Amino acid sequence: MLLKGLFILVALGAIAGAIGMLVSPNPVHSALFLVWTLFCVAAVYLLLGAEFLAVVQIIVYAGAIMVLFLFIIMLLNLRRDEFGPEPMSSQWTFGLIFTALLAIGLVSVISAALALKFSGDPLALTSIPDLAKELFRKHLLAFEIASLILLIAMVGVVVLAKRPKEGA
Amino acid sequence: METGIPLNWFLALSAILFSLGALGVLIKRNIIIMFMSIELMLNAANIALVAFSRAHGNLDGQIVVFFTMTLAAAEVAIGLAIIVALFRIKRTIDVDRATLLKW
Repeated sequence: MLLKGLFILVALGAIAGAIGMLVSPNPVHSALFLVWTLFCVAAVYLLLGAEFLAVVQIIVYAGAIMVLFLFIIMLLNLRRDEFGPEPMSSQWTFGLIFTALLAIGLVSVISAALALKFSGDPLALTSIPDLAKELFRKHLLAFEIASLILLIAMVGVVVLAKRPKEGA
Repeated sequence: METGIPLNWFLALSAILFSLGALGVLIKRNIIIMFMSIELMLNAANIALVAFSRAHGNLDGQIVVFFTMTLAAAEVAIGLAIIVALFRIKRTIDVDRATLLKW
């Protein structure tokens, strides 16, 4: 009962943060709302018993990724008239229509998923050592490839963000 | 699930957050906020993966989420570099004015 109440609190917090991100005109406020939503998602991971992912979520998403977003927003140093125009009214109409269609599709998929019977024991505790064994035995190659992708991304960012040479 | 929070609650939260992210991509014209909406959709999918991981009682879903976060970090770095490069050329973050490939 306590867990359910906690989940509802966290879920409402996450949804409120997402809506705040969409309605606030200032990109800095949007980014801070998204940080709040990401913290709530970390709390959802805790409720799911995925402690490692909760910590990684806070470090990587709320820490690194959102700081990068805020850093870029402040680097661009936008004036109020450069925030980009408000959405067109037709954009609202079509956006809401397509989002409603998407939501209907998702609800039908969820109701299909609920009919499934899961054989595993949902309360089999999945500890961090188990996760490490899984990651470094079964998925070692993928882990190494992920590090390569991060290296490529790093090189790509340096190339993209470098100021072009004069006369080049 | 006998005790604790039912699976469908997590899936419902995931669906709501994903829809809000999709709505953000559709209605916003500020490229940075559209990019943040994409991050929100990634997170929504991650919630569903972790929820199914618990329902199955194994760790495969959590491993996938771990790699998704790694790739999201790479994707954000590249995407923001592209936004900076675009801003340097066009002095705008309005997606409607990013028409370099249109002729």
